[in-house]
Formats: sequence, C-alpha cells, structure tokens
Amino acid sequence: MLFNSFVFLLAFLPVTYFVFWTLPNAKSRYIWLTITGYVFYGYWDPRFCLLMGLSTAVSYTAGLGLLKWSDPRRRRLLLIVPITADLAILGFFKYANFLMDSFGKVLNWAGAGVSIPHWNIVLPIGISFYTFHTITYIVDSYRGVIKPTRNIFEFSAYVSLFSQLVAGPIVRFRQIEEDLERLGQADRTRWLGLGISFFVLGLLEKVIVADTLAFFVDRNLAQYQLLSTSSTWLSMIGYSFQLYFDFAGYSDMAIGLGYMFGLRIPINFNSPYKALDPSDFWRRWHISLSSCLRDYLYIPLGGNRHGEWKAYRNLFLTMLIGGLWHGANWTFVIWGAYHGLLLATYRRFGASWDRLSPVLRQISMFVLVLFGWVLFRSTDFGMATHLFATMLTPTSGLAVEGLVPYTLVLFLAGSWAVAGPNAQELHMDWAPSRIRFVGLAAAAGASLAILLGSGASPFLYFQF
Amino acid sequence: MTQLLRKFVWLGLLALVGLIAAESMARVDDSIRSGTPLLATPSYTDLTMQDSLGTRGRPFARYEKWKLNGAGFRGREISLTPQPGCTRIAVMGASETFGYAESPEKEFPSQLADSLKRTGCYEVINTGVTGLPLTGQVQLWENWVSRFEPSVGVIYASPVFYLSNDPPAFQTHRQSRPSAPATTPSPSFSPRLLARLHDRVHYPDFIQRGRVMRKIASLIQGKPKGWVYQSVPDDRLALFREHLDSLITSVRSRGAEPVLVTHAMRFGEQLDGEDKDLLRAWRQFTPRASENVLMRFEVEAAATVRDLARERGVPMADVASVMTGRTKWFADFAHFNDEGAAVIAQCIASTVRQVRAPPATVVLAASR
Repeated sequence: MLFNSFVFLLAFLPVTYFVFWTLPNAKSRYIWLTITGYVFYGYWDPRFCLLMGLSTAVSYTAGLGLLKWSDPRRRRLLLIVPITADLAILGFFKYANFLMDSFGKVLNWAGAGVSIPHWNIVLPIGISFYTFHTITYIVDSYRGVIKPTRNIFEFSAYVSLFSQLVAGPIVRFRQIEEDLERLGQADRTRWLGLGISFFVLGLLEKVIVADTLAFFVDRNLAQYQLLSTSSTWLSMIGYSFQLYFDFAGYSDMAIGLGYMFGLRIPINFNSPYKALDPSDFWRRWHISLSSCLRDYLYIPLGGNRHGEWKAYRNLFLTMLIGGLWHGANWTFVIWGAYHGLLLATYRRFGASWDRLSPVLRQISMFVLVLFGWVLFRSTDFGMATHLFATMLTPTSGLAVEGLVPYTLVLFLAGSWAVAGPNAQELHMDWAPSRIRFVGLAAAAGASLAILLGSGASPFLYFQF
Repeated sequence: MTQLLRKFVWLGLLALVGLIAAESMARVDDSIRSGTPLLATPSYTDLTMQDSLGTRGRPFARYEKWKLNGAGFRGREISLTPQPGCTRIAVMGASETFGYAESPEKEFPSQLADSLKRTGCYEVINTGVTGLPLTGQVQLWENWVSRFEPSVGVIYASPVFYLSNDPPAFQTHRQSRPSAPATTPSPSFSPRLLARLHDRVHYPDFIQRGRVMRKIASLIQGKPKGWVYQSVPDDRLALFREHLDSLITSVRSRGAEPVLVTHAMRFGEQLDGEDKDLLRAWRQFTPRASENVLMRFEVEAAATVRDLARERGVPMADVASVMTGRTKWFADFAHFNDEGAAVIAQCIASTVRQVRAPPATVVLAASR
C-alpha cells in the first residue's frame, strides 16, 4: 500500500486513526498498530508477513535473553545468532541472485563455461528497512543502550509500524521508546495539526514535485542513448531533485503519520543540496541511514580511532556496504564506493576545500552528488558510461521533451531544494493558525488533483 | 450553536479552497504534461477533425496520453517522403490501430516499427483515426496518407461499424473548412477535476451492468419489430466486403502494396461473467445487433477478409485466428493492451517482411 494511494488515504488511514484513538490503553493500541502494520504490509503480498513475523519473533526473543543473561558468552551468542538470521534472510531475498550472477560471470570470464541458475526470488518490499530496525534493536540491547522490552506487542508495534515500515526512516527503538511507553496516555489532539501538516507537505513534495519531474525525466532517460549533452545534464539534474523530493516527501509523510499517532519520528532529510562538503551531505541526506551506518558499522570498524589510513579505509568500507544495502547491483556498490572516496578525500584535503567560497562549495558538492546519481539511476554500467560520456563530451542529439514546462518545473523544484526551507524548518514553532490550514487545504486539494489524474506512483526507495 | 455553525462554515471554506486549488492544479498539470491550454475544455474528440481531406487526426492535437504530429498521425514527426532505401508502411484502421488502451508508444503500429527495425529500414506511420470506418479510410488514403508515399498499406478494418443503424457510406458533401478546434477557450466551464474523478472512479459491476442495460433498452425502445438483427445481416457483410475491396483498389492505384489483417476480438467460444458484461457494453455502440450477432458478424467478417485476400491476391496477416478469444491480450472487447499489441505487431511484421524484404542498407528510421 502506498501513502499516496486512495485506498490508503480514504480507507486505511481513517479507519486506523479512529479505531486507534478509541482504544483505551497502550496494550490495545500496540495490538492495533501491529494488526494495521501487517494489513498495510500484507496488502502488497500477504506471504511476506510471515517473514516479518519471524524477524520480529527472533529479535524479541534475543532481547528477552539479553535482559535475562549477563554472561558475556551468552550475550555475544544472542547478538550474533539473531543478526545472522536477519542478515541471512535479507541476503537470500536480496542478494542471492546477485551473488550467483556475479560468481557465474567471474567463472565464465576465467573460461570455466558454467551456467549458474537464476532463481525466481521476489524481493519483499521494505525488507532492508525492517531488518535494520531489528538489528539496531538487538545491537542497542546488547550494548545496554536500551533496555529490551518485555512487551511483545510493544515490540511488534515498533517493527510493523506502518508509517516507517517499508521505506523508513530507519527509526531506532530508543528514538521512539519513550513515546511508545506513553502511548496509552497520548493526547490525540496534541500533535494532530502538526502531523497533518507534515503529511500534506510530504504528499505535495511527492505527488506534485517529484512525480511531475519524473514525468519528464523518465521519458528522457528512456532514450538516454539519443540525448544531447545539455539534455542529459538537464535530465540528471531533474533526477537529482526528483529523488530528493520523492524520498523526502515519503519521510515527511511518515513523520506526519507518526505525529498523528502520538509518535515522534526523527527527521530524515535536512536540505541535502545545501551541503557544502561530502560529510555535510551525509549529515543531511537520509540521516537515519547514515547515522545507522556510522553507529553500527563505521564506529565498530574502528572509526577514526586507529590512525588516518584506517579511518579512510573505514569510511570507504562503510559507504561501500551502504551502497550495497541500496540494491543488489554493482552500480550501487560503485556508487557507495564513490561516496566513500569523496568522504575519504574530504577528510584528507578538507582544509583546502573549506577555504573555497560557500557558494562554490555548494555548487561543486551538488555536481559531485549528481555524478553519483548517474550511477544510482543507471540500470547497468553501459548506461552509466554512456551518460557520463555524453555529459562530459559535447554531443549532439535529442532535445529534452517538453523543454519549456520541464525547465520551469526544474527551476521551481531546484530553487526550493537548494535555497528554500525544508519540512523541518517550515514546522519550526508550528502552531495551528487559519492561514496554515488554508495553505494545507490548498496543498491537499492540489495533490489530490494530481493523484486523480495520474494515479499513485511508487516511491523510488521502495525498491531498496 | 453559533460556535458549531462557525465551525461548519470554516470547514466549508477550507473545502472550497481545496476544490479551487484542485481544479487549478488539474489545469496546470494538464498544461505541463500534455500542453492543454489552461482555459480549454479538452476531450477525446479533440484528436480528430473534418476538413476537405475528410475525417483525420488534427495536426498537433493532444489529449491525455495521446499526441499527434504535424500531419495528424499518432507518433513523431515524419517527412513527406521516405528515406532513401527505406520501406514506408502506412497502418490504417480505427481506434484499435490508433491505440486506445495501450501505454504511449505501445500501440501496435509503434511495436510494429520496433519489430521491423531490427531487420531493416522500415518507417511505420500510424494513420489510424478513432471511429473511422472503411469509407473514411478510403478517403483518408486518397486525399492524405498516399501523399506520404507509403509502399505498403496495412489495413486493419473494424467490422462493427457495419452494424450501426446507418451503415458507413462514402461522403458526398465535404466540409471545406476545418472544424473549430475543441481546445480553444470555451465559454462554458467544465471542471477538469470532475473529469479526472470520472476517469478514476469505477462503478461496481452490478451498477455498471444496470446502467448499460438501461442504455441499451432506451436505444431500442420504440423501434419496429425486426429492427434488432437476429442473425448476421448479409447486406451489411457484403457492404463491408465492398468497402474493403475499394480500399484495396485505392491502395494499389497509388502504387502501394496492401496487406490485409483480420480483425480480432476478445470473445471466444466460452464467455465468462466479465466477457458477458463487456460484450453487453460493446453493444451500446451497435444496439441493432444482439450480442450473439455481434460476435458472429466479427467471425464472418474475418472470413470475408480471408476470402477477399485470396481472391485479390493480397498478403494477409490472420490475426483473428491467433488472438480472438485470448482475453489476456485485450483491454476491452477489441482494443489491445500492451501485450496484445505486441502480438498483433509480430503477426503483421512477419507478413510485411514477406511482402517487402528488408533492403540491404539498414538505417534506423522507424517512426513512432
């Protein structure tokens, strides 16, 4: 189910909301959130609810064990076994074919001439996200950062919380533990207006901005071999903004939904195209992922505690794995490696970079990120190579389809992303007011008009 | 009480703001995506026009997913003459050819171009016009399509027009001026939001069934006994054959090679509930023919096409025998979905290759 679909907006959300707030206590609300989470997830394919149930049960049991035992060996076992199980499930569904295909290619390259079978595996939506949720829970429990919950309903409500289930943000248990504990006493009206406002803004970002850009970008990149240099640049700039508004829109909708149900979900995007350097970019883009990568990968690898070269290595490895997390394709791996290199290079030469003017750094950073998006958007290296070649050497070819309206949309979207306020800034010191509600009504009406016209398009990050 | 009233007024105002924003956004969205003027009242009929050349596609017309080029054909711009060494193919037909239900660039002439371009230099022009019977196609071929010098004319004729109350006939009166474009600003306000809602909302089957039945009942109400065909009308079938024969003659007279294609439909021997509903819905356009006659007429028209092809020595793609009754290839009674369009394109491509083997020089020039 998509947040921007009519079945969600007109049936699922109203029913979930009204039943939730009529329930008397925390336990019944946890159960309701669990049920609705499974309905939300199962709407796509009910079979995979079992997978999520299994992951929940394993992590919950591990949490109980960590609560009970203080013996380091047992605790280590309780850390390793469930994480291995979670990663094995993720690995099978997401990476099995990728690994086998790659292995087959290597063998054939070496002249072995073997045929590796391709399994027909369906990738369960959101598996990367809820696997992250359960792993962070186990690791935090092991580290003693959180006290694992004994309440199975509370934990299952956390894992299957529909607002963050399939495309994040990656909310750690500790980040909403307090709100979950107080769910029975939550005040329905306290954050309702704020929640609606975040949700409508996210809907606007997704439906009006991202989908309109996608309309042009997808058509142009479908014939990328024929595009001219300027058309390729325009298409990739459009894709950069499309991706941002698509994912930031989803995250803002998730945050809004969280508020509506009395849960504060942390910010996931903070105007990433205002970033002045690679570190700054990753502090602003998909914050929940980058902070998880930092806390659960970079720091355990040693972080910057063992000298400069190991810090470079750790940065590179962290981003490489982060790239692979995005998808089972070498283009994602190289995209991750590219960002690892950017971060390592900035760490080495950051002082010189920081002496440049802020405007120059912002523009340069945008261009560097855009080069990364070429890899991210490409279905294979052939496409990426072609796009890079066209962008970097003057090439004649097709002009962008719908140049005038596209440029106008691109200008508006770009101005907002590069210089305008983000959702968090727009909701600073938020208080209900008539003018705000008029604005919200207009934004909701405009978004619904687009939805009626073109239907609900999937979010780009669903594929991860 | 006053407070409650105020609340309602406030909510009403918010709803009004939302509606105004929605209507404005619908217009801006139409303008951005399909170039529809903000103040126009667009409709599907914007895509066709009548002028001295006959009924044809309106040059540069746009409506929703459909876009026409400067010649009024669906697809990209084309030159008046084919590229040297290339075979130009004109595909003639009605809405099935024009591409009603397929995604953009998936209508069968487009997929025919994709299929042919792998083997040589072919240019495919989609000259299909929604609602155009064979008589109109003859006129369109003679006055307009033949100017583009196609060397092959693929004919995919819809027989169903021959079951309407007034059968297709050659026009004697020709309009000298183009009809006013429907996209000019209209004084009457027609809400785009409502149009979008109408497109999106699907009535439950039982309501839709009732609506269709009421419409058919009203169409046949008061008609004399015998008005509704109980069997396939031979005179109409003969007329279909005669007009198809005229089109073959006309295509040949301009030096092009005709290729006939038998007409396929969704309905086979066994009909399930959905088929029956669709068949009844189809009948709305031809209330004179009962559902059974409608199907039989299609079958006999396909046989007529086969006979005519044999008699006149015209190459033929027997699409009906491949596709009729295969529901998965149809979006409704006779319009293809993307997959179905690929199947018919493949069938026609293999016939075209037999008629015009690819030339030695290979240049990518498939028109889409």
